[in-house]
Amino acid sequence: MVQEVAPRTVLRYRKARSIAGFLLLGALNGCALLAPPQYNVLKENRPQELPARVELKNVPFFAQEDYQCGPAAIAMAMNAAGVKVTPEQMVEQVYLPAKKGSLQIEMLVAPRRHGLVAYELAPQMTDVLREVAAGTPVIVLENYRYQWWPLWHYAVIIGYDLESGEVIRHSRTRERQTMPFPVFEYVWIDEGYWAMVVVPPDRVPVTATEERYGQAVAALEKGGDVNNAHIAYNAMLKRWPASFVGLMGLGNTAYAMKDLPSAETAFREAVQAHPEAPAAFNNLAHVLAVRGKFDEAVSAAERAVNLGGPLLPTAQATLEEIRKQTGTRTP
Amino acid sequence: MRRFYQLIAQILIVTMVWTPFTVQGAMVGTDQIVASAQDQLNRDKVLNFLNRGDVVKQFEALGLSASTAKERVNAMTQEEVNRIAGRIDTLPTGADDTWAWIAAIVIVGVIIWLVWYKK
Repeated sequence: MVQEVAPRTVLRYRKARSIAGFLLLGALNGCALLAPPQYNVLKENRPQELPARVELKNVPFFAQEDYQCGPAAIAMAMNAAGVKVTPEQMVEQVYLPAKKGSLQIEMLVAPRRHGLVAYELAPQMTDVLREVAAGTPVIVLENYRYQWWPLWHYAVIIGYDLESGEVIRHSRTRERQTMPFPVFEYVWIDEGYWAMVVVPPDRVPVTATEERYGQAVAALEKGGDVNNAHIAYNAMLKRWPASFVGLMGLGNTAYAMKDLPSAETAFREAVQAHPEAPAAFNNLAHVLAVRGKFDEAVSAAERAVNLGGPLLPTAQATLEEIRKQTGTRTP
Repeated sequence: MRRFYQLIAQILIVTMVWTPFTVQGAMVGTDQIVASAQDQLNRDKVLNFLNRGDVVKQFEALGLSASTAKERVNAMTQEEVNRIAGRIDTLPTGADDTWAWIAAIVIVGVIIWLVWYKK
């Protein structure tokens, strides 16, 4: 068959039309496809610590049922963090039948119910890659349609290749599917580059900040998993040795586990590192009193009261109670 | 139901007014420390309480059993409850099925065809 050669004007016309079409598609989608801002920066200044190519082999793949990308994605991340669950089990914890989907908040809550720490990443592609390079798969929320008519989808990033410019994802029914960086950024941009990781309590995500990781662990503790929260506070203090939340959390979890000597040690370190924190003196006073060290307890409680602040009523009550106890001890 | 909430709110307001006089000497929880780092403001306890009940009810309306809804909301921190209360309908939910994908592909395909190839 002889190929028809189009006249030059027609070719030019076709090309103009295809560019216009590309621009139209781009305009519909906020232009991320035409100029992926984060990937362009990444391409220009590649962070030195990032290996050129990473693929995590220890992330199991679960093909999802219709609508159930949330349960599948969270189950993959939790298995990689060492907790054996199936997507079917996670349906009960993250899936909303009438919405036919899963809320981001519930994706962050569910791992805590299994003793894991869930951490929402900063909206940065480099942070996603740094987590993957450190061995942690990353759950991302993608949109396959438009902002005004979205089609949301959770996928798990398990690797990347900076040379070929691709990310490697577990998604839907496709195991280790590759996707070019610009396309990935284009589907990922709509919910503000939302990404999260799930880690065992003895490991702090490499990109974590002290404040946000402290919140994540405090949520684990508040949920009742004191043992794993204790492990996580220890890990936190290895990364940030003087962390106030870390020291207080370590003391509070030790106290809840009835390990009074450890609680006392933690609160002593807390008052030393943060001598202006009434909460530290209050809790130290409380533990000292329980351990029968009343004189020290009174002076710690007095210090807490003198420092004042919004916790003043608690500190005053602590001081009063300790004084009462001392009163019964030496009438 | 509104009346019930009003009653609960009133009870909570009264108990809050009395709180400074009845507070127990106690440990300061790590969550309190984190919360005060998040915002120094005293949180509105009444609103928080109502939000939790509100989310449980929305979860039930979205097809969860009463016990599952309660369990799931109880696993959230107050800050998490506040972030979704009253907004669940507008929040993204990862949710895709084969037909939605096919529809998306067909629509994009039609646009491409219209713009690129149609003469």
